[in-house]
Amino acid sequence: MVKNKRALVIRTVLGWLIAFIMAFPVFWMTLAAFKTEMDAYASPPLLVFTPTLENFAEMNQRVDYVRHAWNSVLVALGSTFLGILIAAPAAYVMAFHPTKRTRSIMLWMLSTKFMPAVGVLVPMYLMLVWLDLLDTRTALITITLLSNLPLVVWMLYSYFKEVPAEILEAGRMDGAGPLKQLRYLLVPLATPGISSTALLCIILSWNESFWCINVTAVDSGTLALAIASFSNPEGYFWAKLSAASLASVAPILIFGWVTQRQLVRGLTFGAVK
Amino acid sequence: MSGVELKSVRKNYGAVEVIKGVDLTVRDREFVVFVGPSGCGKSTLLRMIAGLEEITVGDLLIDGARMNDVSPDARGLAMVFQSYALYPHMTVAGNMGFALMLAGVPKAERDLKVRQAAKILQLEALLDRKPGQLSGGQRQRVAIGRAIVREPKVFLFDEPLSNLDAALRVQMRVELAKLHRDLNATMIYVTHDQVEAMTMADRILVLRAGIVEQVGSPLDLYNKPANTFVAGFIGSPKMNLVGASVSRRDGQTFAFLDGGQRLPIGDVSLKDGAGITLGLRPEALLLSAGGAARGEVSVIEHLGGETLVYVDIGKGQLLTIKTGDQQPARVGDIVPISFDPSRLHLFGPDGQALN
Ligand SMILES: Nc1ncnc2c1ncn2[C@@H]1O[C@H](COP(=O)(O)OP(=O)(O)O)[C@@H](O)[C@H]1O
Ligand SMILES: [Mg+2]
Repeated sequence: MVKNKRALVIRTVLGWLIAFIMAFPVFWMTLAAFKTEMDAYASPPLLVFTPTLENFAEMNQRVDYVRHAWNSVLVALGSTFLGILIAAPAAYVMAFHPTKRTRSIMLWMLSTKFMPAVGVLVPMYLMLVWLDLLDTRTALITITLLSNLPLVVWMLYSYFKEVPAEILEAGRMDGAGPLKQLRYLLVPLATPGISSTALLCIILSWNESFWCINVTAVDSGTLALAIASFSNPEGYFWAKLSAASLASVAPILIFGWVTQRQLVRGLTFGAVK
Repeated sequence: MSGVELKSVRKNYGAVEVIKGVDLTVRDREFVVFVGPSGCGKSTLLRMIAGLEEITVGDLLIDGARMNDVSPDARGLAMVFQSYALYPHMTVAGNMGFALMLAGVPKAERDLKVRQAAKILQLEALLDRKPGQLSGGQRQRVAIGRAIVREPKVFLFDEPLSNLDAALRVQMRVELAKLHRDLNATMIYVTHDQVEAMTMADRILVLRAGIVEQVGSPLDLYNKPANTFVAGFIGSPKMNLVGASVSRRDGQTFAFLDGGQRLPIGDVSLKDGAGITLGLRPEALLLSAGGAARGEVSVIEHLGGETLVYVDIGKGQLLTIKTGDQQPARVGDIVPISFDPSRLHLFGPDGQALN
């Protein structure tokens, strides 16, 4: 009993410690966002200070927050919606009508994530120039969609696999072709999985910064671009950078907080069914 | 007319052949049962008829029309799956009306048909429930109801009763037989349980490892099994199969049992010394004097209405004898065994029936 109790205490302390280490940068960023630039640089760091909103005001002057936020929303929702629209039929075929090559195709899709994005930056950039799509939301949505697609297909595939094949076969006997099986059977039955895939996809798209920084500018840049503009050759502006970061991640943090139950339910869908 | 015809049907999974040439004609309104041990290809054969598996070689005809390349829903069939495969997110009514909904049948007509089927199956009170809120037996009924609503030419069943407990299984067996009569429908039914096959079928197809061993009425299979496999598979308790060899003396033919005893048999067109198998059903054996053989009682099982006596006839070979007598003998007794020669089955060295 005593031993168990001690193990429990150790585990609890360890758990909190790890949580603290992981959350610390966010905590520190939140503090810095409300400091003056002077306070932010103070050494030793200040824990007690007079909070100010001037960073936010200044950030708003320098970048168009609303515009970038709107771009972020469009890119996240657009790439997620289109991604699922494309991935669902693919995952359906892979889960229920696999061929000899299905496994290799799935591995190949995953392997596209092995290469660092910077490796294809130049060809992608040139293609966008030719297509006249630089600094457009179309380009950013397409790229984000494609880079998330392997993950989305994999996740949907594993959720679809949970649905017994006989249910779809019963649907076939009842006259449902592939699209109707998807619409009337698979999608309703895999809703928890599909929603958590969508949520994860939204979060990933929202935080995508590499392509956004490299192929967009003022017109179609997302909040990631807005943050980046605060660490530039003129020097680092700690407090303003923090304010911009906070303003960028706040929406997605709140979104994640609100949807966390759904997210967890979906991710453990198979395990607890 | 709703006949189903299989012509030299084969199925390969990659290089493995699992159905090795099946010919069968299912007549209109017939109840045909595919029976065989697990893994012999019954489901595969049924699923090929349903259109859920492709036919590698051969033809499938329904009402005379070739159906190999027709989609499952257009073949005029309905299937009841072993797992029931109900749509878990739809109500009972939704499940039963799904096919009609997809076919664009107006809601009023749909409801009427669903209600009619529900009435036949006593599901009226459950129409608004989800499958998760039903018992196993009720789910089974819904699965059947879903098939009935479509008014198919042919019903296909894949081990529909194997997930039910024993009592419910017997009850559903009777109900299915009644349903077959009431609906006047053609039915093809798959099971590994020979009792289900015997009790429900007009005709039984016995399948082993993708090969048809015999097709016939239940009593045909019981009275004239074509080979040792069918002989051992049909009937409960199992037929006694005893190894022996042919020997002739003084113009009479005998079977020398592996256990050492000798039985007179009718003449067979086999050489002396040829290996044969004697088949004797437990219910054809009697514990009475004047018998051709004897043995020591090793186990007695009392089932109440009947008693199973296991008699050792030498070298550990046990004969099962079924009798209505509650105290036919005691363990350790040496008992005489006799039988009506007309109920003796003889199988040649290749396992095929001789008479
Ligand atoms: N999709 C498949 N791929 C490869 N082999 C299969 C497949 N489905 C069934 N089989 C094989 O075919 C044989 C017959 O299976 P099945 O028709 O399900 O048998 P039964 O219903 O009589 O138990 C089995 O040996 C099984 O392993
Ligand atoms: Mg089977």
